[in-house]
Amino acid sequence: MFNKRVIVALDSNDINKTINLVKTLRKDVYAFKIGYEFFFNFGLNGYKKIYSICPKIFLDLKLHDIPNTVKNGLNALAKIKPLLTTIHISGGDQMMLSSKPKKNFIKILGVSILTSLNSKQTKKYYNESNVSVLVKKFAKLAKKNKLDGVVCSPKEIKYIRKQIGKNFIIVTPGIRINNKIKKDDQKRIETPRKAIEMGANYLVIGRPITQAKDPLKVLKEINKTIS
Amino acid sequence: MLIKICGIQDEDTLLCCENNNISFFGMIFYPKSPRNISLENASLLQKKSEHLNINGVGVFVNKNINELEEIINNLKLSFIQLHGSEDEAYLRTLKKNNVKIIKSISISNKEDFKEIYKYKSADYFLFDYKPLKDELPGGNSKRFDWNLLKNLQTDKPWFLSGGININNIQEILLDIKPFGIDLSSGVEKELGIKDNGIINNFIRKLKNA
Repeated sequence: MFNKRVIVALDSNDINKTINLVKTLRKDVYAFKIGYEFFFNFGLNGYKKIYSICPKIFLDLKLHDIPNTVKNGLNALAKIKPLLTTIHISGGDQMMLSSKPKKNFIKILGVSILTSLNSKQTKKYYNESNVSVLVKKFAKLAKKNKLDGVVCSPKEIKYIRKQIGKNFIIVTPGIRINNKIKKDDQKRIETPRKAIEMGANYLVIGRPITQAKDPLKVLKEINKTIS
Repeated sequence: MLIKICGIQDEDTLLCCENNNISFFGMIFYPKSPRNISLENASLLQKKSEHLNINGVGVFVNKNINELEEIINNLKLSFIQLHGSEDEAYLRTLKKNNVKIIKSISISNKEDFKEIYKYKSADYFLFDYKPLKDELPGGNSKRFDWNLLKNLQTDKPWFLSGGININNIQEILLDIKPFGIDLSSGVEKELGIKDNGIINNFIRKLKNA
């Protein structure tokens, strides 16, 4: 009966439209994802407006800095109580270990490899052309350094779930509802049901819901397919 | 005055509570508490209570709101108690699940009572001793200065909690007169273990007070 696994990405520069969307969808989402576009357009005030309507927020700011800076940043961020937030795994062991905010229920997820990077890019920047090999390595390091989970592409879900076990949150973006929709800029994609079957806990879905004529209908349809 | 006993973990104690006309039994979903209950056990107690004249209250501390909603719906909880730094948006969202909310407020001085103005969506307040850094959010057998309650102004019914036992119940009944009291360590034989004999004694003393 519990099928709230969709995190709706609020990537928009129109706050009123976003607020209406949140009001429409709040009962059927796991959370709303606030990323750079929303956060840097509307700041803390915008965040609080969304939070007051629905206090289920994935604040995706992908922190990446020296350990002490990230730690202090997260302690400040904890005050606005998102459910989930992100740091880059490539920030290193010490950064991950020191990242746990002191209070409350915030889960810290590690960003492995950005889903926009293809093998040429990963070869260039990480000296590894096999993206999956990199992601798997990063996920293991995230677990070892006590993060609560990872963000990864659907392609790696199965392996990460198998290797790391149950108590590790897997959030996956790159979800499209069917093949008719063009792939945009996220290169590795899957359907919602398949992603859940492979072991994802939560799915980040943006445009297929937010730009639909009837976003609630689309969200409910997705919920139905994964319940 | 209503009575709630918090940290019930077994059916035997639940039945003892019902026999003593206790209105609420608290089930604590907080792994750090010695009174923590599993979902399976809570489900059994909750089912049992459907046929009894006593209400189950789920007690939570800063629980992930989605998980909390899931528990409310699975256990069909009508009452929850929030013991952490949950805020009004959190309460307002939970109210959509048709639950009555008891919000606990930790008290060490009169300024602490200002917290109640933050929680429009609370149905009841529960005033408890403000724990020190290393202490549990509740169930520490300690009381705050109850004289502070004399200037309290609120339309909402409230429970008194923290360090209530057989020796101070008369003072509470005569001087403090709360809507309800919340018992835990005061009816335990050792940390986290309720004792039916102590519960029976307590209620007897209360009736005679």
